[in-house]
Amino acid sequence: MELSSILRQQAVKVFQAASSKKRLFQEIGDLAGSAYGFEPSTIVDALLERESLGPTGVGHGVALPHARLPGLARVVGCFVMLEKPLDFGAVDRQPVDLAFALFAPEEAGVDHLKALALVSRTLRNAALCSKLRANPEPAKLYALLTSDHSIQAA
Amino acid sequence: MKVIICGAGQVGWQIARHLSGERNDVTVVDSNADLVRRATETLDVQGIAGFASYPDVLERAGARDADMIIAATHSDEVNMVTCQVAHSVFAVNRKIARLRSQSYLNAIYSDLYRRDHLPIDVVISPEREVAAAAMRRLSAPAAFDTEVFMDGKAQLLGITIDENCPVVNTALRQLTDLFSTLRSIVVGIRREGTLFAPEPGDQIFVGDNCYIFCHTDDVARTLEIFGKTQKKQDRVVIVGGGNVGLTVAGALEKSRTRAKIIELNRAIAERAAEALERTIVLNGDGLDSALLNEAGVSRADAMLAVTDDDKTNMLAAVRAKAEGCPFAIALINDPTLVPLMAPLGIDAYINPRATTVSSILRHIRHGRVRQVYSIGDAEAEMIEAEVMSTSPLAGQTMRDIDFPEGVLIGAVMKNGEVMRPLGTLKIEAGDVIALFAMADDVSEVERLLQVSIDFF
Repeated sequence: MELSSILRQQAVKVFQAASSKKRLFQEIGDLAGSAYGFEPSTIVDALLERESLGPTGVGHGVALPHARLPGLARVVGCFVMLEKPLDFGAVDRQPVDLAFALFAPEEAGVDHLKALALVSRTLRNAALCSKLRANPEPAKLYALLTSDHSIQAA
Repeated sequence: MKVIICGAGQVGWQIARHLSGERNDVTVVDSNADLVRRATETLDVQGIAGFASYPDVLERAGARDADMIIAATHSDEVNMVTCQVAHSVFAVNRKIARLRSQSYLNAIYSDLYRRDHLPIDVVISPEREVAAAAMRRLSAPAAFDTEVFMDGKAQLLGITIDENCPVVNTALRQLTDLFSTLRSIVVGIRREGTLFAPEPGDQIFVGDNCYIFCHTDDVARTLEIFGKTQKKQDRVVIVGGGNVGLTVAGALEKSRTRAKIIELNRAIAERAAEALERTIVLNGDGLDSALLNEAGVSRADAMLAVTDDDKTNMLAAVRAKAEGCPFAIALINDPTLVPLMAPLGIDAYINPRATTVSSILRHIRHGRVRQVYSIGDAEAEMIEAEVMSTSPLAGQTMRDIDFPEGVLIGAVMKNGEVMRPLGTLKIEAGDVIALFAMADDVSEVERLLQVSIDFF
């Protein structure tokens, strides 16, 4: 699996700031809604529901919110960068500025876990994260995210 | 979590106090600027003076960022509209409304509160909850505190240890050996005012207030072992015929207990007399000893003082005791008045805050929490939660789990069966677990109940 297979370029966006987790999820909902054609409110509800079971901030400013959505054909994702980090209740209590959201079909075998592992592995790369933070433009972010992985895989 | 609380009256203020004490971001809204000022001056909260259901007021209160709204004003209709506005305009995820009117609370109309109708996730009704607490108190006079857990299959009992207790000065470890089939466990002890989670080597002393988590079938046996006798209450005198008194009297009629109500306000007394079938309602002052005797307080098994004034309730309870009533319960809203109970000789009290706050905390805690009961003045919590797959508890054997010192397991429910928390018991996803946790350890318990990142 490659990141380019789950992430579309239209699903990458940079925001100035989000004043709360809820607002960030609403932005993600709108973004995923326009990129993949979902109902934004369904996405927000699903993300908040999952978040209430345990926060998805994995540390070092990275969050991987995820949820299952009815009627989805395959695993898809979207990437959001915040210029001003947001307090996310992450494990290391560090504010979050990189969020990779994943959405999986309700019956998704193991693909969703593979995708989560892939995204988590990719964003654990500190060099990549600092490159991402230095290039706050959607096109560059998309190129960095997808190219980095193909280099690693090769 | 960001929470907006509408209504800074008794209920709203107590909720605000509890939630702001746990470092939640709380904003209080009330149309009365004085009440808002009282809240912002004494608590770590922000305040907005304004009409809670107005969208512009909610916007100023930060509704766009809020995760939860609690509508607890005095008007049911304002609370309903507030939830609707919070849902439709600001997409607030969790909406809790206080409703008092019986018609709104009627279960046959509960379909009304669905998301696509009138979006209220949780209805709180302090009057109804107080009435339920009063009934529990009346049915278990030996316990100073009771709460039901695990779908009614387990109970938390608060018992004061006196000289008659056969197991006094006995280490808890020995209790387990002596009564090997007893499905109950001492999860908390209050000694000289301080609450703590006991260790197996700790002993029980006279004067201790013990919190015991026990299987419902073993309640009678547990009370016996701790030196308490269960006695059914046949005659009850209720002072105060408002919503609480009326609900309690109605429930007592169903359980064939004879009740008499004393109510000062003529109109309220007439309403109560009309609503009840067998209960006699007397119009007059509950502090009047002649009237109390007319109600037969000296021959009653218990008296319950549930007017809207704490001090009236306490004095009425003292009066009833002086007239020969063996057991008096008073409704006390203000927690600072509770220490006066012992010198006044009042046997038990009901605190509306504990039940209301408990029903809200369930939605604040991470993990799939089914119930939270706040113990004492927010000193500890009894938490019932479902064990989720990928959580640190799932798949572990009890003795291998690293619980903090202030945490004890009350029971584990597997496939609907309540089991003792033995060291060899394996916790699996889907089990329901009940934990006693001191306030400082609640965040660690939350961590144990949370799912990990790969829970999809």
